[in-house]
Amino acid sequence: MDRQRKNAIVTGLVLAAMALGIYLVVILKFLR
Amino acid sequence: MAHATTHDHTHGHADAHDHHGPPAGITRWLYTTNHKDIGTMYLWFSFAMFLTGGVMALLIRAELFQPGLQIVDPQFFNSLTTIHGLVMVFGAIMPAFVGFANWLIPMQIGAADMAFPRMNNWSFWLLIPAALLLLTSFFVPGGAAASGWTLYPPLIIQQGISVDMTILAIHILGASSIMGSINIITTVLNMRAPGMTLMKMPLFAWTWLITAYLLIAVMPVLAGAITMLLTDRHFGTSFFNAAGGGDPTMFLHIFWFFGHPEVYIMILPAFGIVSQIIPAFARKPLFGYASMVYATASIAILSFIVWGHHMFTVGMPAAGNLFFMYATILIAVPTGVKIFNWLSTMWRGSMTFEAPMLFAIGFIFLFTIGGFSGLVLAIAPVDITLHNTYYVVAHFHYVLVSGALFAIFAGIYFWLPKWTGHMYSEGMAKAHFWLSMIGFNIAFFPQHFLGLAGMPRRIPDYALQFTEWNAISTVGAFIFGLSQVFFLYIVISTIRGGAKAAEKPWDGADSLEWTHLPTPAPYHTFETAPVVK
Repeated sequence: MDRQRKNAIVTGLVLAAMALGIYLVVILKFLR
Repeated sequence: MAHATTHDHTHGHADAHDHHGPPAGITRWLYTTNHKDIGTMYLWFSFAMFLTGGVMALLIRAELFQPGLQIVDPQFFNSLTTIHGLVMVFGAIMPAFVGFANWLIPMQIGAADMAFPRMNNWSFWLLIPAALLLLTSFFVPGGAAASGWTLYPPLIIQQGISVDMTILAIHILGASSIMGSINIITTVLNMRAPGMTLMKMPLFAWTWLITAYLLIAVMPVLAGAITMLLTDRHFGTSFFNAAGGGDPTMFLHIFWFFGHPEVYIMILPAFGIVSQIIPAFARKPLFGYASMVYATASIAILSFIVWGHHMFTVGMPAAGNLFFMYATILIAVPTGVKIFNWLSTMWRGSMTFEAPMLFAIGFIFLFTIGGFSGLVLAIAPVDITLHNTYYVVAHFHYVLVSGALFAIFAGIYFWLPKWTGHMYSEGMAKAHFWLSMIGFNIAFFPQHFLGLAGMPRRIPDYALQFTEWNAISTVGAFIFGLSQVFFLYIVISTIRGGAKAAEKPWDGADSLEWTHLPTPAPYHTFETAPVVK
């Protein structure tokens, strides 16, 4: 796997984790 | 990364353009991972949604042509305003800009394709079931969601199954947007050609990079809000249900925390398109490139702290209202920087006024009107009287139709020669511009007067004193709507034939797709990255 592909996959995963994290934080914040 | 590794040997090697040509038939579109094909599909999808939402708009305007109820019943009217809003925001404007991003970003930064071509295909094809869910919700018992596109509880909790279809559709659209954004950010950050530093990127790529971050930050917030609506409706929670100890106002806060950045998601790529067109037709480099980038970033950051201006009337403390008022007014500063830079780019330029430039100038003129009415609405005490009136409707249509949509038209005329290899008819395109310009202003300028006089939005009937301006507005809406059918004709006739486009039809265009690629752009571009000096 070349360096550019690795970097792209890491960037993509970080961004996807951001999105999922924000989604969960919004819901969990209001779950009492 | 997205290297084309398959060679279609049946076409031989004689013609470099056909060498990597697309497969024939429907599979080309179903399985495509080509950024240009996906961009084309996004643009056509967006146009289909634009016409669908446009028919709803014309039904709304037809009903409002005269006071009293003539054409539709009130429940259906409310469904029309709701689905019109959702279709235009999520189905027309956003996918159109993603279409532009797909077509242009790889070419502008010197990449072979998007970073994740298969995910790109998936992002597009998710749109189809979402659109079907949204549109077929008209035909279920109770009719389509009728709460307005903002889906406020408690009303939205009480309606039938169509609301669940709408919530599912928005979840799918959100997932598609997030995947598209991940693709765009990854492409821009990882796949630029050697020498293409961030500060050398064309403004369109810059505005989309920032927009994509906005999308990743706020689409999950919307998803969270509507997931909570769904569990309130079916799983016994009370996030927004006062009867169970929840707070309907909280939905407004969460929704508009998404909703205001969403406004900029729909306008920043438009800024990018206009920032490329103005220099091309003024034959001068863009004035203040770096300040444009910083202004875009400033607008994006500020968009997170102004959501309260959509809800000045819900009873926030005065300090809260004041904070949101001042923060909102602050956004005029970076927006003003942009307007100033566009005007300075034109200043003493060697300008010509082909259709893309006409739409770009129309954009600056009318978007500024929309910006100013936004400043009026930002003033909390004024907003308390104007809230939920037609003044608000006039304001956001100036921003989103003569803002976002005019920029889309400008961009389509600008890049159509690059995409198709054919030149559109300049005379017809100019006629399209003037019909749109005149129709739009006849439709929406009177709505300022209606709003100032107190006409509420989302009501199918009105008091007699509003009759004249409503009739005029409806006439304008039909002129505007029908001129878009003319636009469809112009685009199709350009694709099917017309004069061959010059390699670089616009003198001042200087981004890679014009300087480093033939016209029309070949199916695969930059298999070897260009070196940017």
